[in-house]
Amino acid sequence: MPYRTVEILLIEDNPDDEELTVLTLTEARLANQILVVRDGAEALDFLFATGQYADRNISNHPRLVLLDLKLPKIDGLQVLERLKADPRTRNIPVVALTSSREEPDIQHCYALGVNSYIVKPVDFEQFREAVRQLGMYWLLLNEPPI
Amino acid sequence: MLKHLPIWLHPPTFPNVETTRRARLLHVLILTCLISSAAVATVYIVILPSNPLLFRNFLIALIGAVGLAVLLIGLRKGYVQTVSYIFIGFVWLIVAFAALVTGGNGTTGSFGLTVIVMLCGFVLGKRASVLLAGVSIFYGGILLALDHAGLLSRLPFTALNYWFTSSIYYVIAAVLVWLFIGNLEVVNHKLQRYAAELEQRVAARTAELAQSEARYRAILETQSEMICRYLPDTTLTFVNNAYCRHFGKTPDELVGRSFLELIPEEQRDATRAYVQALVERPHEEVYQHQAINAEGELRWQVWRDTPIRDVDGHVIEVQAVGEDITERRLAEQEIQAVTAQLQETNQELEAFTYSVSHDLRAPLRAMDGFAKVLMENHAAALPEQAQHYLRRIQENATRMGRLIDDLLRLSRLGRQPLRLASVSPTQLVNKVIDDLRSAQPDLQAQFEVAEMPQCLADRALLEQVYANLVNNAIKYSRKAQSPRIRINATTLEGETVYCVADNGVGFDATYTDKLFAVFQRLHDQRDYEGNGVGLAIVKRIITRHGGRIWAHGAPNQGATFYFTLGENAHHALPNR
Repeated sequence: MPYRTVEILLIEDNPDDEELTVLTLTEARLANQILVVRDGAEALDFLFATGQYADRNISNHPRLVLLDLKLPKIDGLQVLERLKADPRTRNIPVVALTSSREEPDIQHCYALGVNSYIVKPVDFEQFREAVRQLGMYWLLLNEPPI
Repeated sequence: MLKHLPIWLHPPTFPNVETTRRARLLHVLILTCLISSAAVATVYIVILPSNPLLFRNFLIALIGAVGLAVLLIGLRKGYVQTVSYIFIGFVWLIVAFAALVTGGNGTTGSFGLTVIVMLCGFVLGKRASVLLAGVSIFYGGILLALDHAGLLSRLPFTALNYWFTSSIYYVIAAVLVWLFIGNLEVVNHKLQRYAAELEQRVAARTAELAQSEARYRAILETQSEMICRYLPDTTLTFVNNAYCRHFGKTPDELVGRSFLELIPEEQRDATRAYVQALVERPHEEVYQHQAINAEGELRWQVWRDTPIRDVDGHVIEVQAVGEDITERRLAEQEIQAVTAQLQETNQELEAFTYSVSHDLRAPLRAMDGFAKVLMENHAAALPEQAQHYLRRIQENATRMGRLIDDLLRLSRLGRQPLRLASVSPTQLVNKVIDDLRSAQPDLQAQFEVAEMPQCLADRALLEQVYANLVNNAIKYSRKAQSPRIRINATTLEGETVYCVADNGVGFDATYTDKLFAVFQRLHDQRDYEGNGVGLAIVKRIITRHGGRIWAHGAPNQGATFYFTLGENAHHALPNR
């Protein structure tokens, strides 16, 4: 997959959630270009064009980052912090998509500048609806800065 | 006139003691002269009618008597100083004239001047007396010069004349001595009286002081707290029994020595600096340090120091009250350790809850999700029975999701601080019912909500209590003819008891104790859905408020839940 066409970056370590999310997004024909990374370090490598993604052009932003908070190596909050602290990546919309309903996480994420915070519903029907709606909103309705 | 005689004879009194003394002296002198003049006049008229000087002497005596009477009046009016000058001046002039005409120095007249000088001293003071003595000496000199020039003529003086003038001097001298001695006696007497009074007062004060000192000492000595006083250089000046007991020493071994000797060496400098600061800027202060007690143990003490200042504000002593706080400090340290441990445990629990929340949900979502995908995308390949099982898997996944949510809520209840505020239970209940009606438009139950008193509670948690109790009531009265739910409050023995009652299936009173336990259910899952956490949450909330919860019920006769909110609830603001 050529990286410059990546529309959605899905940062998710759980293969079940990954498969269900990708399935839903594909079914809704929202994005053909989904890149899945499985830990925070790889996510940062991609976003800042380092390591295995060194040949990528950093200014080719994905249109949406779906971020799980609990990740191996570097956790989601740190990824979010790095992303929002850097002027090159600050404008990329980030949606925290997580199982955690714990309040400190929500507050922390918003303090770091997350664009949206979604708790993954256990019910698949609700989950599917949530993913579909947020894809629709961020990819079709939202007007990104140039 | 005669009627007022006693008043005229009575010596005058003025506010100033010295003025009074002079006035009284003058009074006596003038009165004496007046009586003498009157006597002389009488003698000349009655006894010596044939004397050729009769008329002249009589006239002089008469004028003298009138003049003296005027002076007496002036004295009484308060012109003491003026009267003094006039009286002394005139008497001096008369006597000086007498000396001149009777032959100069050595005559009774010139001796008379001596008496006048004395009088002047008594009436006008030391300086006037010295001045008048000078004038008299000068006058004596003039008389001497005149005598030398032979200008003085010696009048023939009869023995009677001598006797008479001498007598006047004797009388005046006697009066002066009498007055002087009398005055001395009065002063002496007064002095003695004052001295005696003073002695008595001092004795009384001393007794009082001794008494108060004894009382004060008794208080100090019976105190279980250590009390001492020390000088700004840390030398002890007093120690009580408790102090001696603590350090295992006698007062003699302590008083006169520095208390720093009792303190371990490395703490002495700090303590010295502390005392220095206390002496420089006197204020009450609390200070902790260690000291070695009777058993040689290093003990912690706390001292409340009060500087005692002299009239200039300088600290002369410091009074200190202290106690041994070694045990208290140990206990505090223990509490701190336990608290730290508790906090650690709490953090572990937090981490555990977090991972439960995160990790337990994900597999459920996968189960539910893949089952659904299977149903949707491969339904054709699945027999009816297989689809049934798939639905059962989904249902269970959903139920477990709810169970996790409830358990998390229950665990969070124990950790969240209560946000107490004045709350109207009536408003809360009405909101709960409104929410229920909009979620379930076909709700059958009838609600009777009574007006309930305001209380102090966590609004969100109390709403949760009512939501769970009302949901319970609806659930278990669903099969009743006409479901009726009553929500009210009564006051029992000064405590507000809130109740939620239904006319549903009720429960067997035997199992009341299982009602509020987690995962305990008294009804079949197939008849009444639920996971057995709802009432456990209610109980947890009520307990956190310091209240109690209990229930009454019997099979098919409905159930009533009662709860209180603890003592805090009654401090709520009155209804607005």
